[in-house]
Amino acid sequence: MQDGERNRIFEGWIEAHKAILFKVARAYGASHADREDLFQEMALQLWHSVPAFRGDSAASTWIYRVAFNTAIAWRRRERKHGKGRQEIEAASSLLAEPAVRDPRLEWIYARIAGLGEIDRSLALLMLDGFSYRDMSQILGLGESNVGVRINRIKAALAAQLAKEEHDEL
Amino acid sequence: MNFDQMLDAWKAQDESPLYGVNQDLLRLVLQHEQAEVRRTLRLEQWMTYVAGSIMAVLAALVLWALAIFRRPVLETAAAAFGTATFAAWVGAMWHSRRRQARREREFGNTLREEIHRHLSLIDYRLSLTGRWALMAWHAPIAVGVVLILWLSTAINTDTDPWFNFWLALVMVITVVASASEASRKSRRELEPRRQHLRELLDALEGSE
Repeated sequence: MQDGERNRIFEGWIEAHKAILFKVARAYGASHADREDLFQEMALQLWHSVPAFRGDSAASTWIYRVAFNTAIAWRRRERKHGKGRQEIEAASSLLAEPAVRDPRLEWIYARIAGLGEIDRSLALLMLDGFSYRDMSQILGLGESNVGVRINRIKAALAAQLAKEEHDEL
Repeated sequence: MNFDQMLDAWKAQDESPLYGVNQDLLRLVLQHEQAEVRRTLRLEQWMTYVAGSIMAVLAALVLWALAIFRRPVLETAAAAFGTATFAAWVGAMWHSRRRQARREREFGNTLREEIHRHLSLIDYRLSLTGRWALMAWHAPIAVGVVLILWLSTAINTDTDPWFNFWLALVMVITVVASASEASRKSRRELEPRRQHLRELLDALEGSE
């Protein structure tokens, strides 16, 4: 594949699906600098993955798969070697945080952050409306396993919602 | 908040992404391109080191053999010239790379500095493809070719001197032609990249 063609596909993907990378970066990166770092890493891996994309699945499915693999590997690496992040964070002003924050989104991301690595990915896919079949393809899990986990995640989220509503009353 | 409201909030974020993306992508592309240019430079650098060192050692051996066994003034001087040329070639390459590395280290980590660093790398690469620079970098190869041919004629005295002359000429022209072609190819590749970077820099400075 020619570089020009590769770049064209990559730019098209980023333009159309950047929200996927943002979501995964936000779900897996604890701090602003982490998200920025992870975002770049995912975009780089996505660029590398362009020649391997055969069009067997939707681009969004492929992008999610690459993003999750990158995010999980990145987290493991960060846990092992992550240090000096605060300096980077202080120096980093590339990604501007949104001026207006939606508290509901903050809540969702906080709940997602409390999940394990695989469940975190499943939660994102569930919220984005992917079918069990797509989820199993993206994450390499059996469909029944996906179903069980999704039900568990939904139940946990519903319980959290109910508890907080009860507390508010 | 119920489950449906949660989904609404989730979907709403797609319409207004959380972060500005262009600068990140720009940085990513820059880093990728820099790595690419550096790989090419490193390859050229090591080819020069290896080829230059081998040729310098060979020329030094010839020099030593001539000085010990035959002592002809002209050949000895030629071999000494060859040794000095190849050693200077390797030294000049080393010095040039070091100077460029120092220049690149002066830039910081902001996006603008990253662009300046990349521009400096591309300018450096382009400076190596100029006519004089090209001659300077490839002259040692041509000298090496001529010396090897000369040596072979000294050993094999049966061949026609004109044949050797034409052969040397053809080889030198081949070296020069292939170097010029490589240089043209690099320029074709690097000039638009430099232009693009300058435009990005202008856009970035204009937006601030």
